[in-house]
Amino acid sequence: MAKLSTKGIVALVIGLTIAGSLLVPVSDVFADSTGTVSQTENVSAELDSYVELRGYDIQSVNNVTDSDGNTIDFGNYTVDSDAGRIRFASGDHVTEGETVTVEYDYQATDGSTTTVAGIVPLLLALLLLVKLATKVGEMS
Amino acid sequence: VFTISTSTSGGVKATLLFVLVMMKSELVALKTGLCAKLERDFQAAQRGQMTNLTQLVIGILISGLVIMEVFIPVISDAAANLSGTEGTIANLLPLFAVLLLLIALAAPLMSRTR
Repeated sequence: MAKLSTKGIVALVIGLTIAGSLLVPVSDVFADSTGTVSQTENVSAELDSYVELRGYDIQSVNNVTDSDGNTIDFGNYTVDSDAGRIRFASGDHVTEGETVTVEYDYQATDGSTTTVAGIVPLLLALLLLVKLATKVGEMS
Repeated sequence: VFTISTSTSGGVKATLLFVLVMMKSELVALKTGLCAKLERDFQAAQRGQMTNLTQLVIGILISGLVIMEVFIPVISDAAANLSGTEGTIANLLPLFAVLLLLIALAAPLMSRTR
């Protein structure tokens, strides 16, 4: 069995530390971007015209509030679920250009995509583990 | 290889012995050179493997971020306005993107555990 030099061990530990520290945010991105995602978004209201939301395939709109924090009732706006758009009806509940906060859930990924995307961070961590285990095996 | 009989003269014996000693030293030098080359190659391979792993991890991290944060939202948003065959294919693209990541990870993992 080949012995690892001190330089090799240091390089390996530094490499794995960097990779490990990067793994956490990447894993968070995977977790936050798959399945049903809750989103709170501020949009500039346009009366009788659709405003694009960042999300798509919207599952539910939980709360819509105006700039003063007052809840806007469901009848005063329309949601295009598939395209992820919201339209405010004319009236005294919201004014043109007013900042409105929309809280909603959207389906970022579904079915097999969610399953496969969930495995990717696990495999990434396994790759690091296997590399480390191989080196430990070589040392013993 | 060589047989030196009792009838062989002293001079010839000495010459043959000299040739044998020279050949042995050449072989030893060759063996030493080969060992050194193998050692160098082994160390280079180890360095190469480490570089490959680093490149692989960095590549997959960046690809993962781009796929999850850019590719899938853009494609899914566009797919919402598509129907029929185009819509079906567009809806399959995110799945294949994450499958690409999965295979890119699974292949080196399998090669390292073999």
